Amino acid sequence: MSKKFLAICLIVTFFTIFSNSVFAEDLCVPIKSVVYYGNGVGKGVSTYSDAVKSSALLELGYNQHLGDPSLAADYTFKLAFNQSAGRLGDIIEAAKQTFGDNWPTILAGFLLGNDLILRLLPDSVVQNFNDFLTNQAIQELVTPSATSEDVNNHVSSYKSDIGEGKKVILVAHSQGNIFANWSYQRLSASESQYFTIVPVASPESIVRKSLVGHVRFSDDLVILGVQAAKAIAGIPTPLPSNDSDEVDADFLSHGFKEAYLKDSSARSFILYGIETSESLLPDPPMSSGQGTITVTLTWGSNPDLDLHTFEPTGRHVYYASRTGNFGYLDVDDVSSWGPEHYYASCEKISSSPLAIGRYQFGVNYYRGYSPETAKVTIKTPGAEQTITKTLPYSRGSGGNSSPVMFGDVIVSKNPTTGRFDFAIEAR
Amino acid sequence: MYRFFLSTTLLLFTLLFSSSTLFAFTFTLGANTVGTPTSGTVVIDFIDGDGLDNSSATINNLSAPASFFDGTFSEPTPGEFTVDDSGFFSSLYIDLVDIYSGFSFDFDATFSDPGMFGFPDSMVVSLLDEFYFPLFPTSDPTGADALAVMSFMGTDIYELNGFTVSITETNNAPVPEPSTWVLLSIGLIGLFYMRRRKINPVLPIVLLMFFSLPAHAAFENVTANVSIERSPLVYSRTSQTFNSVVKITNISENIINSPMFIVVTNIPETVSVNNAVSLSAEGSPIVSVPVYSEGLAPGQSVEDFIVKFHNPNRVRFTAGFTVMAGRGDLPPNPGTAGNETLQGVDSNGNGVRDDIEIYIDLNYGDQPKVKEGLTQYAHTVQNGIVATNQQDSIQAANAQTRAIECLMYIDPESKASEEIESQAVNTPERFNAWMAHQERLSGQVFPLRSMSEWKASCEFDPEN
Repeated sequence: MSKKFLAICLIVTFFTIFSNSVFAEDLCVPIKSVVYYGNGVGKGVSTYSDAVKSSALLELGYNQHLGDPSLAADYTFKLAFNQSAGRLGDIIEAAKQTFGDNWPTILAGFLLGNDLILRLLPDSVVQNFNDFLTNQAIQELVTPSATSEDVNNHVSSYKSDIGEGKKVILVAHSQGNIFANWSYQRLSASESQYFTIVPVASPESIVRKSLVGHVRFSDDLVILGVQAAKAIAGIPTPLPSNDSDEVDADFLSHGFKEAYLKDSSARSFILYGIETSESLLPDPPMSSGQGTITVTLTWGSNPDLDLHTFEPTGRHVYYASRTGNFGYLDVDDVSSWGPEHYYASCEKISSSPLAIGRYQFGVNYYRGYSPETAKVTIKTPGAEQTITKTLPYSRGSGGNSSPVMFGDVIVSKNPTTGRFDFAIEAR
Repeated sequence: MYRFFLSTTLLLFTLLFSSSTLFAFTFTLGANTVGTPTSGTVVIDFIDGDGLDNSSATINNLSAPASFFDGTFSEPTPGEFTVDDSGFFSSLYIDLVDIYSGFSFDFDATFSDPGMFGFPDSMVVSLLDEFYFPLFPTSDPTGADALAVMSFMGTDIYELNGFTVSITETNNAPVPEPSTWVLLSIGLIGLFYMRRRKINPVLPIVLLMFFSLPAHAAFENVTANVSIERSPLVYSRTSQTFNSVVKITNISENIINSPMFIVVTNIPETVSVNNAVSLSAEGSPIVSVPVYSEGLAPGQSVEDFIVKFHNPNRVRFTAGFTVMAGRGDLPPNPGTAGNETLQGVDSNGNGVRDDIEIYIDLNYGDQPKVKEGLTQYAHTVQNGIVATNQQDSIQAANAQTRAIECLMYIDPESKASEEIESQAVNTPERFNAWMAHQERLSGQVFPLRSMSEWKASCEFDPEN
């Protein structure tokens, strides 16, 4: 047994590394635009897998739309996830009453759209519970339980991408439009030139910025519900309908992947909307470099926080020593808000065996007068994370040798396949 | 050919000679105490279990007037009702001003043995409230809270606190049935175990000839090694399902492995099995049989598990049962022990819970690439469920994104991952942990790989 077991272990190990890694040549392709998908509230509570699948289907659809893989290489796709679980308690209670002991799997089936499970239930039960969930979704859209604080990390990512010379196109579905409008207002005037929204099934009465209009089905029952509720409450109603669902695979005509990406005219609007937005947005000046690993530090009104990087060689990269063995501190800020920016270039990482290892990122609160909140956004191929910490007081240059550590990136390379693996560890 | 002839002969024999006739019986519901006057409705359901026209009943001398009837019920002379099994489901409703005043009716009935096909036809008496939900819980093992079930196998009466239900002969007319039936029919009071239609061990061989079987390498057809007994169908107005209690006995000389499943064959498209765990490639519902780690030893039985049919169009059907069991390659069904912790039972230590591994194999065992992709996916879902901090959640989420990219590389239209994920959150604790995990992801950004990299997101080679 041991030989067989060992062989299986080796294969598993091999493929695990394989799966989380990218080839050197893929590290070095400059990205011109980032397409974000901002998910909606789903069926009352959004789920991560539904949001990822929507993002992946958007990417798949856009690749098919472009046709030429070399054009697709200019884009990267990301999910700006929001859970919006404000009504989860009520929804669980209703599921317990309706489905009894088996409620968890059945409720998950409803939230995820597992048709197999729903086919096992009487139609009337499915219909009634779907109506209930629709009402919950409408309530969540009329009076969101989320606040604008919930988009802080998304905004950090948008800012970081724009700073690296990338256009940001946010395809927002349903509640994602509320977050999209909030996010837009948090960008600086110059950043907002390079950011735009493609609104799909928006519950909002306005879109802060769209270069292509919006799409809404006349038979989108969720937005119709929001419209009725807002009209009664005397608040501005959603953007008007301008399309109809010809496919009707989704009885609500509201789902992103179930309805809007299926209907041919809505699908065209979304895919051409991305392409048109990309062509109309100006190219952002590259104020910070694109790299395989990029780290962006932003903060509040206090004058000076500094980003400190320790490269695998032990090299300390900071404002007084801005060139490292593999990366650069290319943006240093001493006048509030940030950003400061470090990037490790793909050429350096892929050419030197010494570049493999642990990159550590920390922040020193250099000068200021009150506790300050620092946000560090770390981006690698396949993983990205924003880490927030509050630093109590400024330490001057005395803190340079012992910054508060925020997170690490571990770079490894598989000797057999030549593929690179990146993992982020928050601290 | 010879076997077919033999079986057909057996079938005809069964159909011709296994009916039973109950002449002149009285059903009585009596209160043991005087309660607060409460209105209620007695309903008499006549259910066709086998899809054949071979059972009927006459009901008269109702102690309260009938208020409504449907299906094949008719009232040829005032106060006398007839019903037969030419329709799937027929009901006679009698509203009672006060259930504590008692209720009774007389009936004659003929029930046929369904042979190896279907369920026994049945007549079921229940006590309902104004919304036609059961007024009280009873000891009915189907969970439908019926008071009494009559079929060719005899009569079963279920305990109801504060009341006595009885079915007695109204005269001395001879009953053409074995002595056990006579014993049971005299002054039946209290709880009797539901007896089930026992399928002759020879007969399942015929099933092999009539129905195509789902092909799963990890499972084998063990129908010939077991006897299957099914109770008559009872309608649960709460779950809107027709329920049968099933007993399976190992009549072979070898242990039958867990996991074990029943494949319900030959049902119309509009009929579904409410508690199925999956559908076979041919669309036949598959029900999990509660046989756990040690398997089913020779002579041993597994009983009291329920198969629930949903039949909104009330069509008649003749359901066949095929029993499948693991060949030994899969871990055994962990049963409730698998649901006690978030981690569950992973007896072969491959990172995927045994219940999920069985589910994947049962449903996708014949699609090797999808099976591998779903196994990778299940692993990431489980990592999300057991995550306790944001770091672990984000790592699980990124791995889940890789698994989705991999599955979309294999088949962008597939909805299999949704099935696996809902099965993975099958307890309140797992559901809550799953939601808490996603809350830790809220507000973060998750990059997808370019499509040219999706193939590399598989932890296996999806091409070979």
